Amino acid sequence: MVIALHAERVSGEPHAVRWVAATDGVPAGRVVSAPGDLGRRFADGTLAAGLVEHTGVWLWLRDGLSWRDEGPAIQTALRAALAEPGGWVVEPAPGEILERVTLDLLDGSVGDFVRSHGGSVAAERDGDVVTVKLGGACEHCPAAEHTLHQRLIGELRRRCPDLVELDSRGGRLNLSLSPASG
Amino acid sequence: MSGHHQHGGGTAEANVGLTRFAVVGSPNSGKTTLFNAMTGLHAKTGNYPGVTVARFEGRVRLGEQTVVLEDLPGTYSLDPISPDEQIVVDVLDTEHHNTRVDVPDALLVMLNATTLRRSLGLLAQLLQTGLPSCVVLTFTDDLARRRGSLDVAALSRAIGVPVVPVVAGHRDGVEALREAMAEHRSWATPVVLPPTDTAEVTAWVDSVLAAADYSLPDLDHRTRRIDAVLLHPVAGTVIFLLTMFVFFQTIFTVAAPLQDLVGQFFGWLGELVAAHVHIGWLSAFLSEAVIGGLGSVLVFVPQIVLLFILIALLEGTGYLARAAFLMDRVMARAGLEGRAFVALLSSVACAIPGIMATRSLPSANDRLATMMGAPLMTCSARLPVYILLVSMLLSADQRVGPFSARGVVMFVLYLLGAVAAMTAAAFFKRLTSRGVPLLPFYMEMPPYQIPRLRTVAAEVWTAASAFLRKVSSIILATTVLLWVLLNLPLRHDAELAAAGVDTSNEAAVSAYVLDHSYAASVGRGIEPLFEPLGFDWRINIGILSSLAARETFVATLGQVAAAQTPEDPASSLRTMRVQSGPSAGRILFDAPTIAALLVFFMFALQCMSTVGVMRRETGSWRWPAIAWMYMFVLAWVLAFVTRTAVAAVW
Repeated sequence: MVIALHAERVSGEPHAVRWVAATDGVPAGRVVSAPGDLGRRFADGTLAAGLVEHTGVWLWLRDGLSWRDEGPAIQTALRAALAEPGGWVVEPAPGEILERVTLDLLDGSVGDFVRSHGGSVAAERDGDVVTVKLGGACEHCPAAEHTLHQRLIGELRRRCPDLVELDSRGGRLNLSLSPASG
Repeated sequence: MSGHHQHGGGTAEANVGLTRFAVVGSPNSGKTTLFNAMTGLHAKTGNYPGVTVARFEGRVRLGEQTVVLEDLPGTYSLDPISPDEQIVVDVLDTEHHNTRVDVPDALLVMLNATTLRRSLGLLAQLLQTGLPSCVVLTFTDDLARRRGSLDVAALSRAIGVPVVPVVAGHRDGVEALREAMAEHRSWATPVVLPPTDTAEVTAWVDSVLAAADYSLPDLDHRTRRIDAVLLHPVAGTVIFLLTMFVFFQTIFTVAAPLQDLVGQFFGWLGELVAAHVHIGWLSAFLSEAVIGGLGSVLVFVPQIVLLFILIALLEGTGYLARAAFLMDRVMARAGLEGRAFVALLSSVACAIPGIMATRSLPSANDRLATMMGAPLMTCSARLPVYILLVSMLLSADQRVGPFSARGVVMFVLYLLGAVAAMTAAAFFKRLTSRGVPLLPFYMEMPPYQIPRLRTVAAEVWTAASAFLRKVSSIILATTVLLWVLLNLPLRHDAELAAAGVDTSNEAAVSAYVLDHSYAASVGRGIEPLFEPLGFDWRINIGILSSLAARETFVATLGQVAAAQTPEDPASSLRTMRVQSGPSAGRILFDAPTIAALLVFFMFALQCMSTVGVMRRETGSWRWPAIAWMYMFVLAWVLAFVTRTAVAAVW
């Protein structure tokens, strides 16, 4: 059984690719070492960094390399590595994962929704806590909290099952991942 | 560069230097519909060098700039199994490019939303070419109707190229696509190209579809239960034949009263003209050419409308796709595939869309074979001719069991047409390719549903207005020309008196004029050819005029009848007698002659529009010439055999 995966562009980061795949069994966090061929590419510096989340793996290429050239070989290596979940070593990075996933959603469907309503939305991280702030037409809209809540939290929970909502008021939403996830 | 353009059919000559977009996709992905919508049917056609694969190219205006759109043959993959697919591979081969055809600057990849899993495999291969690509997503309305889901924005992110949904018949999608095309230089490209290994491509497709939240519910239980019966090899075939039988019974029994109403209307109109128009030649022109000629064709509007209502209903309920599936078995025996049957079935309306539908056939040989058979299907232009002849052959109250005998004969005529079309297609297929294995054939079975009234109405309107346009243009022109030929040269009273005609008897005068007209000379000129079939000069003129459009045959007979017996043209056809020759005095339209005429019309390729389309689709006059010749010989021989046989038993 070949593991299903595909590559998505990360806006504004030409060296990054988000490989969308089920990472069953691989712990979430920053990659320290990976099994097989993928591990060698981390070791020789081809890959500068890696981040595992529930629905994918983020990989950063070293400066000077291009995904068009390296992509096919790394895809094969990643597929092989995901088949060996026990061979991965990661260090917890709940704040970074939450920030990445949140920005990814704000860049995609959730952001599109907010923008289509004449609003704007931004996220910023302070340690392990990510704060989502609404602006524009949404800022003083009484329904905003509810609609944003539904959209964003629903999507976030799918991508990060261990999401914790700290509080939400005045168009601000404070989020973190439960420490156990680390 | 221009040298090979000329060699390539000269289609690209004027389009050098313009940005070229190629439309790529599997058959039935809506490629041609989009192409027509974008180019407004002002397409230039030619052939790809060296092969009989039609090449379609048109210009599209995008604001300030003009670009060229090329409709590539439908293909399921870039691993060519047919000459048509080889063309797509050649055109898109950026690395080892043979200079025979231009590489496009960008691709519009058509993906059918209801067959996305299969189509994404083709996209994976197309993206390997490295050409800027934009996905055109079609049939999203079908997906919604089946309660499926697809997140278009997520799909675009997953495959890494822009996705524009376009629903046939909606302008918004086409406009959005024009805007996207204008910005083709800034189209997103995939950050990593999809894999090439088959198993990895399958995994890539799975992953993309999951990311796009794609779901396509299976056909519902009800549909499956109905299909268990309707697609059964025996029960299904019996039901199919019964359906067709009822179909033709309906055309006769339901349309007959309406047809009488239209007939009465033209009768009333004729009286009105006689009473109020006193200029001799104008009155004759109106009553003979316009009312007698055109009126006799327009009488069939109810039948045409009914035929298309029934076809639209069969299609709208989802039954037509099942019929094609059932016939796939029969077609396979003929060495053809079910898609060829779809093309043949379209020919029941008109051979032209039928011949165009052969474009979906992956093999050039299959396409040729199907084109050679398609004109034998009973098209709607034959309907008025058949109805007129069958009505003269049988009276309305004659029955076969509980059924109208006329309806039964009509059913048999349609059945024979279909058998003849398939036999011809099988024959040509055998001739052009021996032992070539059949290509895989995909067909979607839509769920059963209540047809949408708007869709039915739109289809019927299109067909009826096309018929009326035909009547008011080519048939009118031919009829007027014939009227002139039937009334010239002008005769003076002295000349008539010298010939022994009583100049005070209008009927006798018009009979003399008609009998000595230019048209009569032409008809008599070709009499030796058709004499063995029992046709006299009046029928010959009808057959000549039917070369413009088959229905003109009815108009011509209507004119002749109106001129000979102005007071009662309707019954004059029945009592018309052969005027000269060995069988002078015989009732002209006796059973053997009518049977021979029916068979002649069944086989002869009398439609110049069909010949024209055939020439366009095959790229030369060779095949239309072959088709015309073989059908004429077949029509003549079989009409002669039929006449002899009927004369022996009648």
